[in-house]
Amino acid sequence: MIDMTWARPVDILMVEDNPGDVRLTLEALKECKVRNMVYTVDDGEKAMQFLRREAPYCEVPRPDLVILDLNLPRKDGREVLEEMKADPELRRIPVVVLTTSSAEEDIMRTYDCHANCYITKPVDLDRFAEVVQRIEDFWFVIVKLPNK
Amino acid sequence: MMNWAVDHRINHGRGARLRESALLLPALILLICVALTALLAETTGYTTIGAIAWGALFGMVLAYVVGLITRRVTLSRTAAHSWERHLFDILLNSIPDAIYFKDSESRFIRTSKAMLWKHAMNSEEELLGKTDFDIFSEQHARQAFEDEQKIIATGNPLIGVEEMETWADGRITWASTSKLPLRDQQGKIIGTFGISRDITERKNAEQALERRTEELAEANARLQEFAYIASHDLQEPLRMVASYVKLLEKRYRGQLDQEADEFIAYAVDGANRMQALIQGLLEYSRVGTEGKPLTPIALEHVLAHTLKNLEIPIHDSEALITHDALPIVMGDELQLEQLLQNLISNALKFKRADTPPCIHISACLEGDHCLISVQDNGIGFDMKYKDRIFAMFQRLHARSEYTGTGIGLAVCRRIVERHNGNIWAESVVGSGTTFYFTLTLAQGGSTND
Repeated sequence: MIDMTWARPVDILMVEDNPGDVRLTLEALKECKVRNMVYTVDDGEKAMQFLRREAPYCEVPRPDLVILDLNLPRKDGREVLEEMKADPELRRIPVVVLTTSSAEEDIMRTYDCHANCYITKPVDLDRFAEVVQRIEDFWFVIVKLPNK
Repeated sequence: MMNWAVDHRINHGRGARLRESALLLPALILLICVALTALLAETTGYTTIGAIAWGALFGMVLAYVVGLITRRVTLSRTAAHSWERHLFDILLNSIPDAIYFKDSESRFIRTSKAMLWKHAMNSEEELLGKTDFDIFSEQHARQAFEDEQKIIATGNPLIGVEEMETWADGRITWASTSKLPLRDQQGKIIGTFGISRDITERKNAEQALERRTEELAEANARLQEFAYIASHDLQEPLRMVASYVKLLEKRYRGQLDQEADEFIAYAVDGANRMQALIQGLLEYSRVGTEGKPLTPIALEHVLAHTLKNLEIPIHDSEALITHDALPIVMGDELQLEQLLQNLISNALKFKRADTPPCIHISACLEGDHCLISVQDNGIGFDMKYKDRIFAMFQRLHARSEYTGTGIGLAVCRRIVERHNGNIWAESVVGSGTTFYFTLTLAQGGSTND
């Protein structure tokens, strides 16, 4: 029996520079069982500002999950990952790396930086939607996350 | 100048001694005869003068005969000597290699004509008595001098040393030089002698080849990089096209007319195919970029793994797969798996309509290589396409008949080539196909149990 104890909506930070992919993910998340609020930033610098609640992101909540692309302008996803996992306040937040690359070196390096999981974006739309829903299913229904 | 004497002795000593002894012997004989007869006369009572006269006569005859004999001997010796000398002169005057004899101070005492011409000299006199310092650069001459001194001291020769020669006008030539200790007839080392062969042409060819190989390797690396990056970066915009066209389809299904649905279907299909092609291209370029060094791999295990991967299609097609014992080869495990998987899944795919596939894998060992064959009973192909099937993206059937991008065999060929082998196919239409490829056996390993 899956215990649906999430009463409040979950906050997701999506770090993705491709607006097309953002839109697709949002579409897929609309079908979610769990209510969710998705915040989007389009580069690594803004991601760190958001997470640290620095200006112009002073009033934002701390996200329950970060969906992170690797190839970003200014500061790329790998650096964001390293900085998050080095910070005692931020390292608890699960990071799902969702990226185009399927290259072995990328996968290895990402896990070396302690990402929680690595997913290659499916090309097929239906698969993509499925993957996003599975992410939500796993991290918010099955998995226990710490309280904020 | 002391060593000039050495030179003379070497060249002229023997002959001179022979000539000297030729006169000495008859004179001695004459004297002895005269002395003997005088003594005899004393003891037997003949008059001394008469005896001496007879003795002298006898002695002269004897001396003449002996003289004739020794002259004959010395003539034949000098003739032989002069013949040998003639042969030696011919050798030194005609051979294109630079041959030289040097004394213990590395001064030239005899050289070949070729050596003179090499240094733009007309006669040996110009070179004799000089050293390398007079004809080569300071640095080269110093090295040569040191080498020769070492040879004289240790008696160890230097054979086949390749050296670069720099000339006054900046020209560079290459020579292969051998230097040996020069010993006199008593075995004492009195200098060195050497042969220097011009290898400039060969050396230039070698260097050109090296440069060419380097250029090729670099070009290859760039190409691989390009293919890899291209296929990677192409995926992103492709996903956008494919996904949004599909989203259109889903969102507006039934709201647009039938033609629109058709258009969308073609667009989606195109995007999907492009995706498959890019995946194929990525796979192809990964053979090079993600290839691991070759180590001993048991083909039996690779086959077992492959058959497990293909469990479902094997079951669905009711295929029968058999194999001989397979050897241990030098290879990259993942790539060998990919190779077998591509070949076997092809055999499963191109089966005859009502016949379950029968696939047999065998190995034939020869020396340090093995020939692996994958034989099937499928539809076969016309042998005029035997090379085309290995080309990238080449297909022999319409998409509606059989799926596939046409990259599988191109990947197989690349893998086999990376393993220093060859791959080819033989087929009869309607009967079946056999794919053959060669691999290198692992040292000391044949079939495993």
